[in-house]
Amino acid sequence: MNRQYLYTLYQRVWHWLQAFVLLTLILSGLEIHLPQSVHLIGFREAVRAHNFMGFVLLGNAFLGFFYYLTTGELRQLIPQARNLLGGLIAQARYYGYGIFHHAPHPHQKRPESRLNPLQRLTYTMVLNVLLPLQLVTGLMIWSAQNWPDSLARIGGLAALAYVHSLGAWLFCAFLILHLYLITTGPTPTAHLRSMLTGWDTPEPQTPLTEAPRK
Amino acid sequence: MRLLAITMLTAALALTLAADKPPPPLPYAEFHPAVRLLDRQGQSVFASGAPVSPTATCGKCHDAQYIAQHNYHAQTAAGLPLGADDWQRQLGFVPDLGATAATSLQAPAELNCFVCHLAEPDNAFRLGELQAGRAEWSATATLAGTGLVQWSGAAWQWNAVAVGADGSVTAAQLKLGPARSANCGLCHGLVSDAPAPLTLSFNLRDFSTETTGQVYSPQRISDSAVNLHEKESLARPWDVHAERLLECAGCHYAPNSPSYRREPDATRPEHLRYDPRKLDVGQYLKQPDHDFATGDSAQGLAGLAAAGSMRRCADCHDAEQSHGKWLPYVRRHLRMLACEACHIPLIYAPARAVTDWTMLMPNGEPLVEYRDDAAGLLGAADARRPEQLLSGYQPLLLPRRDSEGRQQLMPYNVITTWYWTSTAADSAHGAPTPLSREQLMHALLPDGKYAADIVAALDANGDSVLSDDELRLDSTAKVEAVARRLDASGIAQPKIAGQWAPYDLHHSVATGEWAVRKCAECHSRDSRLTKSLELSDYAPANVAPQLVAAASVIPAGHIKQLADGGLTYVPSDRSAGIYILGHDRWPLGDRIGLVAVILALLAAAGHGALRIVQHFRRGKREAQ
Repeated sequence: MNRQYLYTLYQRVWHWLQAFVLLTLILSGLEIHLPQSVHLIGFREAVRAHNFMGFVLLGNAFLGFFYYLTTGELRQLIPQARNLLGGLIAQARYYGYGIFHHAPHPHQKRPESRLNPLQRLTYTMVLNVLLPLQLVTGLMIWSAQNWPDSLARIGGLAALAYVHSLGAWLFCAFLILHLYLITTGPTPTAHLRSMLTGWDTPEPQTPLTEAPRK
Repeated sequence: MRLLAITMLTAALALTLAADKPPPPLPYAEFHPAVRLLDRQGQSVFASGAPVSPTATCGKCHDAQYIAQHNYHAQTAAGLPLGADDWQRQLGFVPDLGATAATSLQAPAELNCFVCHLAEPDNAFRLGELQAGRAEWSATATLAGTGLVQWSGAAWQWNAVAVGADGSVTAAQLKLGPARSANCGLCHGLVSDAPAPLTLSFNLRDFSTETTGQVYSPQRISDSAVNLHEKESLARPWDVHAERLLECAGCHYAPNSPSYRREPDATRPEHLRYDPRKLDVGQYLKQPDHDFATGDSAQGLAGLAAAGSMRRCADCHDAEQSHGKWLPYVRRHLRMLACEACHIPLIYAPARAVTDWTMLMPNGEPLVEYRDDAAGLLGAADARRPEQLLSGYQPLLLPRRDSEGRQQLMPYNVITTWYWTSTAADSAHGAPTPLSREQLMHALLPDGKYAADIVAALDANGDSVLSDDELRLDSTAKVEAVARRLDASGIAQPKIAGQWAPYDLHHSVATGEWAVRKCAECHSRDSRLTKSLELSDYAPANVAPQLVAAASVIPAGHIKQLADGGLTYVPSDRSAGIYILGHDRWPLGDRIGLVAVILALLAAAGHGALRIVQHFRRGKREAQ
């Protein structure tokens, strides 16, 4: 079985830092949002941790964007219009039926095409819409004490908090599905190991759904 | 020899200790020359026997005319007529002031400098003269404690024994000096730096204490004579500024005082941080501006032109520096909350909650209730009972807009006033006017006793005595009976009206140790920022009280009628444009988000379960 090196060290560090930061943000955000129900580190420390981690997330997002832009890896995160619908349907069929019958995975992971069409679409939404939305609204909430007047012009703290909270819920939903889908590799821990070591074991009989990029 | 050595050592020690201890401040201004007490004609009162004229006496050196013209205290006292109608007409609300309206605000004959500038003015005698209609003797009566004048039982007699050959008396004899906090307290509220345990008067003479519960005293609350819950744990002063020896004049200073003067922001050139041009002391003492710096009080009774001119917390304290070490979003907190919102977390002295003029007590006074968080609203008699344990109250936080247009949450007490109105044929524009105490007395207590039909309607237990509870007009039958009585006594179209008036809190300030510090007190479902306050435990004729015309308060909330008929004010932070993290939420957004999370969980769990089932089935098939 040919193992392939799928994730570089930087990509793995970026991923796990992102995972840690998001988890911390969700937990501290939960304590800020529901202080009477969630008691972890106290409201004050939760606010501080949330602010600090928010900036770490922002920094990590910028570094990641810079890395993906300069290495050309950004293309991997963009859904390809060619055969997009077919790929999505094939992936959905696989999750809805094929996976239960040991059908071959419709997408073959390669270093130049690590994400299946469904993943590409999801990450496009998460990384290009949800994450920036959370970063921007979070930054604006943080800046409420410095630029309250500009905040008032866009509906005040309330409007921002509403959007930020809803975005956080959606992030939670994404994380749940993301964590579950980790287990859908050849073995339940195969994807996890790939993200830890960088090496991936290709699934057998994987017909191509996308033309390999030249 | 040994005895001598010990004696010398003890003496040396005593001298050292005495040298370390600063001498107590003199109760008078040492530099003030002796003064001749003059009557209005400029004659020595010891020769003429006439009442002393403060303006003639003090006006010899100080510019009395200037002081009178730059003195909103004097203008207020001279300009406010008495009676509920006038209060209503001029101030937009019915007097909660009762006794104050009838006494200290009665126009005096002239300025009484002694009330504020004597260390021990005799205010009781002064008020006695005012009440007796002898306003011209009120300044003389203020000197009763000096021994220079005494009441013979029929008249005031000057005592020239201790007077100089030219009829002059020293500043030490008069205890003459700058106004101290205690002088302000004579009219404004309970101020005490006496070592004796502090007691409450439950009297509108202590106006600020009665309307808000504020007390300005350095005494520890635990050392006072007030009967409080867990008093032994209250080892904090009634007001920290009093404990730190601040006088009222420190903040409410004379605008042209060389010590305190500062150019108002409105007129100060932007480039000028400090203007060294000031009056010299001599000029200031000749013409001290008595339009003292003042804040933005909710009712705005006096000194409106000077509103917002006083020294505020931020003028002395660098709150950002002191709070920044532990408080996240410090600038946001300081912008949205007045310092008082956290530093006056609880008022321990009971404040008036209800003044009910719809029925009078036998002495002609209205029914009064006091605020107490543990006991609810306490009747006046209960609140005054020595054995009554008091617990104070948590102020209501209301948004207000200050003179600079800045909106902040400020702590308030609220007093609800119930009263009868009449629409007399000759009233201006047919507007209902409040009934005066005299009208009510005439109708309800014609011979000093309740009218028979009133007793019949209100005496629930049939003992022919109307208790405080029975005097409340808390049923339609009672209201109708009293309305009939008023109608029969010539009052046209008697109707009950109600008003609620917020009284802002700026004193009884606590140090950080006692202030609101826990995030959960505000950032939680039961946030103190939205804690409601009981307005009244009954609503005569089911009238909804209206907010008085208090310009600075933003009534972002609503009045809720409780099942027992009581009324509560429920503040709304969202209506005030405030969003409190941990307290405010978007329920729809939370529901949508929660549904998304639950769906994700169900999808993962369902899909995973099916994979496991399929895995075992396939295992079995392969085994077969």
